[in-house]
Amino acid sequence: MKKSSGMSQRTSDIILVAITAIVLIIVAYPLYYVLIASVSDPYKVYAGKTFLFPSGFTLDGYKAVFLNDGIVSGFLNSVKYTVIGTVFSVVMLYITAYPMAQKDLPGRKFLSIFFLITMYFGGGLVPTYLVVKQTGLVGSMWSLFLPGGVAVGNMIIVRNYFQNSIPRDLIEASQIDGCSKLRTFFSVVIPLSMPIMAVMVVFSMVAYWNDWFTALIYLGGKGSPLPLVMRNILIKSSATASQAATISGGYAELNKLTELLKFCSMIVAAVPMLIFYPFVQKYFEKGFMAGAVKG
Amino acid sequence: MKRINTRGCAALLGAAVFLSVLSGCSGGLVNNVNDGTVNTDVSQTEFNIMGGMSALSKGYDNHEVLDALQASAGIKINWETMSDSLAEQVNIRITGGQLPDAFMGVGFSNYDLARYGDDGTFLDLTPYLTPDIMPNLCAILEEHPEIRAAITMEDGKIYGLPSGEQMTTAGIGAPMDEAFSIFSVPQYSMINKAWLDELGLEVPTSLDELHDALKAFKDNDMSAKYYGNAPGSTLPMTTGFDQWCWGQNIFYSGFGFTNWPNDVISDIHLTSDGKVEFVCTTDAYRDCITYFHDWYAEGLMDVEMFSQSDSQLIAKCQQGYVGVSTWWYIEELMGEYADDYVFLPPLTGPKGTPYEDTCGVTIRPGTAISSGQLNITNKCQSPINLLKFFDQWYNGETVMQLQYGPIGVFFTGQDDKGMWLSITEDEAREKYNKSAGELRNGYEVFGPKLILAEYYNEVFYMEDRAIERLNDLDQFWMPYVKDTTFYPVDCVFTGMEMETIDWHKPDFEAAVREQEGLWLQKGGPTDEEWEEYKTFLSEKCGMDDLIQVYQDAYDRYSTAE
Repeated sequence: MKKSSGMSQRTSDIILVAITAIVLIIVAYPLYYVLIASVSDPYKVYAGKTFLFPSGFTLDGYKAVFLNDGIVSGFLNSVKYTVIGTVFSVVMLYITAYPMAQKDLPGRKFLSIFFLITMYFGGGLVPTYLVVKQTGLVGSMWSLFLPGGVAVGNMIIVRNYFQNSIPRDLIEASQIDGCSKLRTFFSVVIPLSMPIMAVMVVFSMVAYWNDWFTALIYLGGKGSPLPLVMRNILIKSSATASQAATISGGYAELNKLTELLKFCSMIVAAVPMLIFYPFVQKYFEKGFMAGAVKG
Repeated sequence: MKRINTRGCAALLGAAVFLSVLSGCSGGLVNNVNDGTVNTDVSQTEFNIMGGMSALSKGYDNHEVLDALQASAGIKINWETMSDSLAEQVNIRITGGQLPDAFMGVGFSNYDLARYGDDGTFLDLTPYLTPDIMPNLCAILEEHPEIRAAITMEDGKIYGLPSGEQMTTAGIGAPMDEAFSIFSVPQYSMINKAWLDELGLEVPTSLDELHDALKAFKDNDMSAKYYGNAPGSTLPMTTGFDQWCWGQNIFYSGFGFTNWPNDVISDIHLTSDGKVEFVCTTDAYRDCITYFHDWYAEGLMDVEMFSQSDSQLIAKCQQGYVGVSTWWYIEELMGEYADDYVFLPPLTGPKGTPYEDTCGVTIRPGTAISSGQLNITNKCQSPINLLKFFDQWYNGETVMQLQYGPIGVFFTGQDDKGMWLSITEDEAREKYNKSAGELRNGYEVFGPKLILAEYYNEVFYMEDRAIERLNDLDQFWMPYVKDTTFYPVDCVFTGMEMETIDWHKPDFEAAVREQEGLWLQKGGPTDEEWEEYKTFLSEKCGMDDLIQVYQDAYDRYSTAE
């Protein structure tokens, strides 16, 4: 940087660090707040007494969560659904998006519109359920993946990436070197598209990890994933509170646990994702294209 | 994230409800239903029943009481029960034509019942209500024609068995025909007596006095001064807005009405000469809202009253920030500060206005007798067998065990009057390592339980807290009720009337509520706004149609009586 620009390297560093620090605080504080709220007295939290430190330390919420029998199996189920679902979705995305990115694909325009329509119009819950039921998927894990396995929005992103970010020249070069179409796909396109694959993995992973509604509708109470188990713990707790409240009193005390559970389940459900995210993150930064094409 | 089939669960749910309205019953009819004859087939002895249960229930398989009832009726029931998302699952099953033999504990509305009855999904039970098939229920219906009237649809058919809990002041000794529901006055207002004493004030008896007390609470920052909380933390008065037991509505009594949220429709009022009106278009209502805006503007009412949840209200009260609030019990809301509070009676209107001596608490209707808790579908081949099973439910001792728990577990013995005694808190802890409430929750069955007021005098005692509340109601609050007329919650509507209600009620209630909140915050209506509001309710929210419908239904109800 030239001196004439009026700001030394050092000053601009300080300003940049300060800005990032502020952004960091804005993003991290709500997470931190949920964390300390999960071990605080919820009525003190609601009365606005909690700011930097927990008020009235308690582990009752976590105790209620972890003493539940379903939590371990729920966690394992969620891991299973997330892994299988993510692999399935990403594979489906790739084998749909790659052909769609080829300009010489017959009926390309028709297929684009065909996919696009499903983004705007859905069948609705009951018709979708009937289709799933008649294909015999109800109660099976595959009911979570097969309907909606290709997320059209994501497919368009991947297709555009193939079209715009993978240089035509590279594909041609590989073909001149004697690659078949399949070989090109596996040896050139897939390695070059790692960044977008990482994005798609994160998208699908988060979606499968958080999804409880599909499981609720199709699995019929067997093999519930973690969010559904959490939801049941919460419902159970609030049912205790409201039933007791109607006639027999004790609402305030029971309701406390319900409020506490809300924070605890957020933490328990979010932590695995927070741990996993950094491992995928490194793919976002790498510039794969550096030096691949000359001129 | 973008998976198409999970986008907008809410939208899908909406769609589901809408579609189930459109498609009604599919799947062929097994029986020739609803032609007024009895299906005499008794070959089926195994039934599938789908329905709701408490989230805390241990399930209905191996349930002592239900097993005994099945054995004595000679049938076997396969239970498919769930505690959440019941409505979606039921809709899916009905629309998909995969019906169980009966639905239990679903709580269908009269609108649903009429619809599913008309299309033949639900069986008309009228021909089956004979002393041969249902001796217990028939005896009850004989003695209580009002229960029969409440479950009979406008076309004279009955699509479900009755259920309801008549928890009334009869249970604490009031005469049966003058008994009031435990829900008659839902909001018990309370005031911090310690603060009043500190300031040398009496417990207010009029809105003017309450206003001065609240002003004094605020000016002296009593929360900081008396309880040592942070300066400025005093909330002179905080409640919810149109909430069940924690709303602001009790304070409107100074203007001669209390527009409780209720099971019929918001703001409905029946005058003593049998005329239906909505209080939200009366001049008293207008004056009331105008008056309370001043309180709001002076900072006496909590700015969060329109948005807070009950947890937030409890949180504030338990910190000692609050001067005046509403709830059923003082201890529950105020926690460790409870001893400082006393009930604040309903107040008279402001001086120098026509409301000076007015103090009118309106009664809220109790809970309705419902017929949406047990409905037999057209899949059922031998309704007689199933109905014989359910007839056993219409007996004090049986229904008591279905509500609380088996004799031998929840009920420990009988006293010399033959009344069943329930397990005490200590015994429950010692024997089952649970509170009595948890024990009860494990056994409770959702279904057609009809708990008549007389059972509390003949079969078992009401819970202590319920008795406490009924005593408060009877002795403290009811004396302020001058006119005990209220719109009967058991009125029966015709199909057309139900359409009208279903169409207009949500809009009407939302519009009134929103406008009331706005006026309280921004200042009462000008003449022009008031006229506009009334026109809006009439033209856009179907108020005139609603009045007509409720009036017609009431007229039929009262002539039938």
